[in-house]
Amino acid sequence: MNSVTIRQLAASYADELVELDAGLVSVFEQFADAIGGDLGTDEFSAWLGAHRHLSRAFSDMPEVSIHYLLSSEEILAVSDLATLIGCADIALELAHRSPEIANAFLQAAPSFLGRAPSSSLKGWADMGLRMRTDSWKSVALAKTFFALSPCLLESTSLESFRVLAQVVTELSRHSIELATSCLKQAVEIFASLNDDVHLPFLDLAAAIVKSNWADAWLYFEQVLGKLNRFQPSETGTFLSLISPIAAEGAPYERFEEISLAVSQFDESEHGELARMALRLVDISPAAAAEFLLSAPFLRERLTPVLMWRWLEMGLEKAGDDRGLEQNSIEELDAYFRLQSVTADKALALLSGRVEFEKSANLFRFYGQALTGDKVLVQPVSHLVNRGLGWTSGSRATTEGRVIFVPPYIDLFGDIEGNLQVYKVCIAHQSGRLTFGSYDFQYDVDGTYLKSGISQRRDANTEPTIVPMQKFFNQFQDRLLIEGLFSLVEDYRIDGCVQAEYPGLRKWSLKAKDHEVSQRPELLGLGLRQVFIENLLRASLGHLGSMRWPAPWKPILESALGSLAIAARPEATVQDAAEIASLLYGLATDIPNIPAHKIKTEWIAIEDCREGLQQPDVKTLLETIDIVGVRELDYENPVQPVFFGDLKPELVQTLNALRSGSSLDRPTEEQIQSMLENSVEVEDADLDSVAEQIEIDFPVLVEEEMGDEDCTEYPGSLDTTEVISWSTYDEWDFRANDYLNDWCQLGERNVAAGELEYYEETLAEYSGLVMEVRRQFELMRPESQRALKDLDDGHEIDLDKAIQFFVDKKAQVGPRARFYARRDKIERSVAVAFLLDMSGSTDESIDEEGAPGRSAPMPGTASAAQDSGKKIIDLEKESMILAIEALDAIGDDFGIYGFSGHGRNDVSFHVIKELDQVLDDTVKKRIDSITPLRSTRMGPAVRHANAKLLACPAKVRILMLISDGRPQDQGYGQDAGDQEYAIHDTKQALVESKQEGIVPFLITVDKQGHDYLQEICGDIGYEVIADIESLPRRLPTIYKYLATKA
Amino acid sequence: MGQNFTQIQVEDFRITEEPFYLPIADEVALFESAYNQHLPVLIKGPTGCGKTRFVEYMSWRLHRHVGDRDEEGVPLVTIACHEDLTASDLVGRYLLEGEHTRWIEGPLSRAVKTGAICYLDEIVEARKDTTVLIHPLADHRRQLPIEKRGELLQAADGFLLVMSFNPGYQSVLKDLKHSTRQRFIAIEFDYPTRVQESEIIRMESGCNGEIAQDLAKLGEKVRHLKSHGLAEGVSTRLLVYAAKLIVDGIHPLRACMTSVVWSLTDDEEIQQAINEVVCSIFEE
Repeated sequence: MNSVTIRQLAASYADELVELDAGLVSVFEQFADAIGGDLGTDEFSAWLGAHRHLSRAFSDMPEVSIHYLLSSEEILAVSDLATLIGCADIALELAHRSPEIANAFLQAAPSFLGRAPSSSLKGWADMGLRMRTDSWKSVALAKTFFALSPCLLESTSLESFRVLAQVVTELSRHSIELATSCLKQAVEIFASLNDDVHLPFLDLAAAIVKSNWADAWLYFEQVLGKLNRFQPSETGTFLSLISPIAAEGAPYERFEEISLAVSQFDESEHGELARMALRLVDISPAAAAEFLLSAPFLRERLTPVLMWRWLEMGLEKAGDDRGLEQNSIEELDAYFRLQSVTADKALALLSGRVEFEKSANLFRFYGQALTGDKVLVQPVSHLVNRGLGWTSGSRATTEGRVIFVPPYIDLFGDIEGNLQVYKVCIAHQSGRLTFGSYDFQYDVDGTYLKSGISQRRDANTEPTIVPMQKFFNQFQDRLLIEGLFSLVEDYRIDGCVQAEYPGLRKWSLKAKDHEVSQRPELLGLGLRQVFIENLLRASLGHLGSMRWPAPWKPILESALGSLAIAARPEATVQDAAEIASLLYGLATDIPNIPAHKIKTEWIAIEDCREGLQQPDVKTLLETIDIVGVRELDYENPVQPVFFGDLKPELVQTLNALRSGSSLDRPTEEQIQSMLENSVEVEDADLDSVAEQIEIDFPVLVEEEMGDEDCTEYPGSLDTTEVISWSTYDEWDFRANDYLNDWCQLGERNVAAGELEYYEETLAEYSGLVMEVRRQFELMRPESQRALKDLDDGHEIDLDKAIQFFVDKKAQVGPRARFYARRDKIERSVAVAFLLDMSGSTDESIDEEGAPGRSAPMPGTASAAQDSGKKIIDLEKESMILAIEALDAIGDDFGIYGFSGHGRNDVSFHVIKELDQVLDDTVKKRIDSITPLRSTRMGPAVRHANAKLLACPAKVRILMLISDGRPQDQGYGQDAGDQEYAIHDTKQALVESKQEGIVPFLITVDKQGHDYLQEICGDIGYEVIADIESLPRRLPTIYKYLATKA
Repeated sequence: MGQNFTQIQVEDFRITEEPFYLPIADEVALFESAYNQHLPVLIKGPTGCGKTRFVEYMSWRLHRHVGDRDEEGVPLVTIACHEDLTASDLVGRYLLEGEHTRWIEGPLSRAVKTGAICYLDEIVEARKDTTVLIHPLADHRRQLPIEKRGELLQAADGFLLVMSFNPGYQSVLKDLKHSTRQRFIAIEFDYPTRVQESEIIRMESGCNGEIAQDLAKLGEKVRHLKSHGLAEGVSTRLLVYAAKLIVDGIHPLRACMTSVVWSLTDDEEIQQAINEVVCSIFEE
């Protein structure tokens, strides 16, 4: 009955629909039966009412009501009629804005209701609606949103879903395409990430959208790959950490960098690291970011406990945690960026690690003192970079002329201990050079052993280039003999070094104790390796740590007896070779079977008797059944870090190249054939090594020999020009601290140009030159000044004395002032001229000229603009005038130029050193002064200070001649930040003053008054508005300074 | 209060006891020959390598009877040259005494008269105009003009002019004029070898052989730094000082610190490097 009524209701409604849209009727009829089956009459009638509303409201767009019909059954399947009616109401509302959105809503509604409560329906619709603006693209976005909603809800919570919608809406205000892409990407992200990470992920997304919306897509696209870098349980924490950092405006790359930095930590330490960063993030998100970026560097040097200490030290420096002033925040950021001296000091205090670069000079002097000659001490990476066959970047070594040491040493927890290990390293390498490790000669007797004491097998007569090669060639197993030779020779050298430097013994022993504690487990090795390893331990003085099968004791005892000969005071490298050859004889008989398979008693050997005993190895070996046990591949034991690689064959070859005449110099083919047999070059391309050795090496040797103070090993950097590199701090006024070792300054000699320029300039200014010279000569003191009429002095002025006696006799009351004295007057002035060689000095002199421009002086150049002169030309001309004048007076003067490109390449050009004689080279160099790059004044001033301080003058003057304000890439936060550069320059000049130097700044920039006042404070400066007067003005200023000082 | 000092005329000073001197090469024979032939001698060498000691030794060795005084050795008049040394300081000057003047002879005049060895130490420190004064004395004339008195002194037979100079740290300005240096035969001194130096240290200080060897070794190592940061290598004299301190009970590390490290340089880096060398050679 009921059904009849429903059918009637349906039929009557169908009639109604015919009037509205005939097409709609058939769809309606298709669904009416199914819906009607589930509902009561009233309910059916309500359903019809809702449809009526929709279809009437949008009679011209029947799709909305059709979608209602299509979704009704599914909605009823997961929800109730009230919800369905609610959907219709919402759809009606949506359709008023955009029927398409309403359709999408109705389409997605059934699936949505399957995953979310019906109460969230309205909110959901609002989310979609908020995405819609006026454009069709926004409609598409909202449709996509509704379509993807069920899918998103499948893998995330409703709360995350809401946040995502907010993020997408916010992003859509900037770019709808980006918002759409991110929305689509979110499906995959949610499906892949753990639930607890969804909200932190979205928080960061919101922060990125807010501060750098354009980066949002990068974030959505790449986040999954980056998040893998975090330990899964800490991923959320890190994301929450990074959110405030991103909110402060950090770009996406920061997230990328941080995740990379964190990934360098062991996953078990991620939690601790996150807690450290959390400690900072509330105080300064930027500091937290800097800390995370610095963390891998810190971790290399500090334990987590000490990292906490370092962190707290940084916070203490900044003062109270909360409410920091802007300045302190910047100090804090600099501290955690590791760009403040305080941070460095704190690190040095906590870390015991000693780095080569920080004490390079000390090690260089030490190595030089021990070795003599022109030996250099450098980090081993320089050698590895040259591709001569050395590949280990961490073990000390030498190639015959330079001592190479590890880049850092961190064996012990304290600086003192590690510093001493460096000394042990250097002393050992120095020992190799001074006690003749590379002086082996074939077939020469040692002090204690005769050459060829043991029968060499397989006598080899192949042609060889060095004696060591010939010696090694006599043995079938090159690997074994080289390993043994290194071991014995290092033992011998160690003995020599201990005897020569008894003060090092204590630290050498400590280093050896440490080394032995790190040696591999004996039972994990092959038996022959155990034999060699035991010898190595014995050579380190640790007999107690040896283990050996008891029945075979005589074998090891015999070996130890031979080895001990190397420690005799007069033993030479020849003895070492013979001992190695004896040990080789023993070792080859020992099978390299796994030690743990030898079932017998393993004993310690506490003492050994020096001497040569020859046990019958083969008979002894038969005492234990080892038949059928498979041998392992043999490997030499790794030499201790402080002994490092010996490589006698390679070094002898290099030495042959160094000293040999071109006739007996080995050829590339010979070198290559040597390398093929040698085991000294591992993991390297033999062809390229041979080429490096033969072709590049001799060139480099010449460079080495030519440059006495060569601090940089040739080949590692572009040294064609740079004579030496120096590092200088830079003043960061915001952090109120120095940035440690911030600038790299390369000193270069200016190439010589033509002498004509100098002479022509002199001719051009001949009148002025004369005048200036005359003025300067007036300043020149008499070397002897006679003082007369003195009460006391060195000499008697006889005229005055006679006068005195005459007066006395005449009783006219004379005064006894007839002594004379000659005082030596010394003028001791040194001046360094520092010329701006930045690109801007290339500008022609302003056509307009300065208001105060004077008429051209007779005899000087005519108006400069006529000749098309540039600022740099006038700088050069001024210098020539100054040189002429200074030469007349005899003051020490240096001329330097500076330019630069970024903090790592500040160029300091030497035209004339302070103690250099004024010769044609200097005059020619002036011609070559050319405008180069930027103006990083601070480091240049500091370098000039250092030069002046090294000069033994009583008065030191620094004259800085520039054409504008200091500026350089990275000389300030951005290109517009002039404050930073000005403050650094000011600080550098203040340093000059503090060291007793008189700084003076001259600028030809008419706007110079603006910033010079700030740079100079109470330091003298002059703005030369009329640039042409520079050549005239400069000597006057100098005269004033030199007299005043 | 008893008088506990001696005061003698400068020309009366003689070395009466044999000073310790370890000949390094043939310098003794050379000097003797020069003395016999009246050839002035220039002794070149770094600070503290034994130049002054050599002159003392030679003056003792050249047993000569000069004038009426029958003493041992040739008198030795040493003049330390300095920038303010004037001709009057060498030759003599008038002083006022009551209403008269009195001529006071300078040390050079006295040496010329008594036939002493006149040793001008660090001659380059003297001003060039002063140095010219000795030219007539340093050639075949062997005369000293005394301008103020209008006199000319002819040197006594035993007189010999000896001067020393250290070419190492002199700047161009302080070089010797050629007209001066080409009037002298030159004997070059250098630091002794490790073995010789350890013998010198042992003899001078009375320390044991081991300490002497270690100090000589230190000397050798530190001298490697010359011109690589150090202007001058460590002198034998400083090593002897160190040995003396050690003999008196000062710890070797401390003794070397005070007499070698701090004496040599003020550059902290080099000080540290030298100190590390000291610590490598001497045990704590």
